[in-house]
Amino acid sequence: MILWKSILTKKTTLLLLILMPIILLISISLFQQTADDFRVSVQVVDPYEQSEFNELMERVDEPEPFSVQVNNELDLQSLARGDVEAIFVVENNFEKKVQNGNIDELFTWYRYDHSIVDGLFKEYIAATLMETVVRHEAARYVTDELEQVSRQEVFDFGLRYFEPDPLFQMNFQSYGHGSQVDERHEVKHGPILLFIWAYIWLLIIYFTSFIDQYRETQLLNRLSVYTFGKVKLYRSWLTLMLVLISVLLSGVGLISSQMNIQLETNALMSLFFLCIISVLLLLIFNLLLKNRKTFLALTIMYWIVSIVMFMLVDWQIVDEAWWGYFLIPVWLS
Amino acid sequence: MLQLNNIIYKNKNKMILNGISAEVKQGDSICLFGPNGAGKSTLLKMLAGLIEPDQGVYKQDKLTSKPVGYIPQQLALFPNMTVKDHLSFYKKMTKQKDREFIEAMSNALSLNEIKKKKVEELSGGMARKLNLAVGLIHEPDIIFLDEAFVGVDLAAKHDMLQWLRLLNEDGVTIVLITHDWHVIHHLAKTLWVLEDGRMVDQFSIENLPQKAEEYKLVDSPLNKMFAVQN
Ligand SMILES: Nc1ncnc2c1ncn2[C@@H]1O[C@H](COP(=O)(O)OP(=O)(O)O)[C@@H](O)[C@H]1O
Ligand SMILES: [Mg+2]
Repeated sequence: MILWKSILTKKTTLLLLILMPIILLISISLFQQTADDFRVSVQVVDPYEQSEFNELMERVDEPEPFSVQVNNELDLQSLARGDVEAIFVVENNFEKKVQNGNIDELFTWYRYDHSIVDGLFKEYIAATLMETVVRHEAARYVTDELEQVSRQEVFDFGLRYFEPDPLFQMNFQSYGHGSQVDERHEVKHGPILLFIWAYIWLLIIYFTSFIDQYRETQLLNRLSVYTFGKVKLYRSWLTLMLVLISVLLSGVGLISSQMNIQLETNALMSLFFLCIISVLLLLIFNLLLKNRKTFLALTIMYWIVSIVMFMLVDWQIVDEAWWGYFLIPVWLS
Repeated sequence: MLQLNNIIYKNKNKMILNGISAEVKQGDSICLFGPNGAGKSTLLKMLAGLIEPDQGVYKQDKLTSKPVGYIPQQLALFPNMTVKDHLSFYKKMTKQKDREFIEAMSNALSLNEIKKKKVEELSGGMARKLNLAVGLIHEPDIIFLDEAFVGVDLAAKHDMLQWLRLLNEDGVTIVLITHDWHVIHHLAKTLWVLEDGRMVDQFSIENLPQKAEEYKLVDSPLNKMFAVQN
């Protein structure tokens, strides 16, 4: 439709659309910074550089919210400085001990007075370790009974029985993602969702200027002599808004997942619906008010009040009042 | 084909059309004439069916179900789109299948040479020609033109008048607003004089000389030009 082409090839539009990914990146990196603040650093030290232990650590990976460094030297100073919350040092002969199921005091666990959640990481290593030990145990048992199979075959075979993960590890997961962590996630989501909404609101205000233009130049009058002429114009404007918002929010989803940030799909979906409501609201304002200045005054006022109100609610300075729900972003907090 | 009976139209309590009665017959070519703010554009919109009267009766009795042709005073175009974009958009919008008609019109208005140009690159006259063409693409039975010749150079005006006359001779009804004597002389058969929302006079073009005297238009330089041509 001519409307899409004419809007999308306009320089101002192009500029705003180029600004879009930049805004996205800025907002997401803001989000990432806050996310990093919640990371808990732990150090794992293997003075003997054992390959089987490395394999284990690869399987442990980096469970949220931990950031794991694997070192060869024990540096207790980093613990004292508060750089890391805990240090785990593995004993020598890791492979043999694990194969024999002899895992008592396999690790030395250094922690500091202020260390709080490092225990979770201990659980995580323990879970992975237990899986390995149980598989070795099984392998040993089976090869004792059946001589024609090799220990490695049975060990690898054992993997099948650990999909899905062992029960106690699942317990750990639900503990780790329990209420504590979830609350923090919401606090982190709020500002970025607000940021995106605020940007989209202004973007739509810009796009309503085209409708004003169509009204002023009598294009709407011209089209209204045709059956559904005006409706078709509004429809393609609305579809354009819908497509742009979808693209924008999918971009947010995509980039955040690329950067390993978990923006919940639910949060994005509700943001999407709130943006659609915003579009409809702005269109209705535009149709009712007709006067550009009144329209701008009202919608920008709404924008500012919404943002302030959102922050007050988010920082728990004021309680959510019933009238707060007239402000779209308050629904996000 | 159009009838107005004692029409009253207000905007926020301001009387814009005040008791207008008139009739438009098929094949007519009517010029609405009068000072600025007289209500000409409003009356034209009402005739075109774009607005409804607050009081009075508006009756429409068209030959076909085709939409009317309405050419607004402003350049109601997409500035960054080409002439071709516009023609194909309105062709689709009005489901016009008759390529020959569009071709003939494009030739008559010499739009073919500027097909690839964007509206914002067009001269005033060319843009006016496009503004006219897109409103006529579906071959309407009745055409409403609101100051369609403002800022149009002589060559473009000639093209436009030629084409509109041809249509009128084919039975297309034309209602137009203009202050341009040249246009009135070449196109109008009847004049309606409006003032303050009232229909002051209606007369045929042959009576223009006497009427011009009556309305003290004789000394206006425009009228002199008109008188010479007459
Ligand atoms: N949308 C509008 N709102 C308020 N007043 C209007 C509007 N459109 C026209 N008018 C008023 O109606 C009167 C007639 O306007 P118009 O029909 O445009 O006159 P003309 O075309 O003869 O110059 C003017 O006094 C104008 O101020
Ligand atoms: Mg006017």
